[in-house]
Amino acid sequence: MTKTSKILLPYENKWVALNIKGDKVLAAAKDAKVLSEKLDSLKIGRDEAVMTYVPSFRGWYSPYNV
Amino acid sequence: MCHPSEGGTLRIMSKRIEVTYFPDPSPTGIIYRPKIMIWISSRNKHSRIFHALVDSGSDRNLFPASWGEAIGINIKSGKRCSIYGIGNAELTAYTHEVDLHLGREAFRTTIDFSYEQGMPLLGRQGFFNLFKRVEFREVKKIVEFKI
Repeated sequence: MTKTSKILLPYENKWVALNIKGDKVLAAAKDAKVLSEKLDSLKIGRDEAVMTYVPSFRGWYSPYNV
Repeated sequence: MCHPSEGGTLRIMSKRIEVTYFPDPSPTGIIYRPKIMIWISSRNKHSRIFHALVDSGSDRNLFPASWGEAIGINIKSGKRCSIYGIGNAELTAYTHEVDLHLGREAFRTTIDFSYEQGMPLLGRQGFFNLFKRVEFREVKKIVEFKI
């Protein structure tokens, strides 16, 4: 497992904001809008974070209905 | 803007963009997915940067409604459409025109936004057809876009 995939483990089915290096979770939330607002309130700039959705990893992922 | 050691690296060359696959957790440990960093905008309101999955099996772009709301779009004011997927699933979505940004490039396109969708999907109509070529290089874990 890589460092990035390891730090995502607690965030199944959530949106996560990673730092640019991809080695630190800055914040997480159930949906993207709430997470964007959280990052705004933490004063984290647009270029300082990348948001990613963590699909369930209890099974394999195929798009739709997640 | 990159994840230097872990995937998701964006490399921009003249008329060519290369993105390395992103390592997500999976039932067997790790799976590398062609998730690329993009952002969207509408009427001068910009989203944050996020990952969207390059999905050659999707007919169109399908995003969670929350991304549209984040840039001030009234989701239900869009044209309503149905999206069908695996297991006979049917989703309701609303189509809107937005600007999609990848690297230094900006593309005017349409996205279907749904309250029932989690992962943003970049599909054939509205994304793949913006490029001369989209190439998945599985051994190197790179997706390459030729503009």
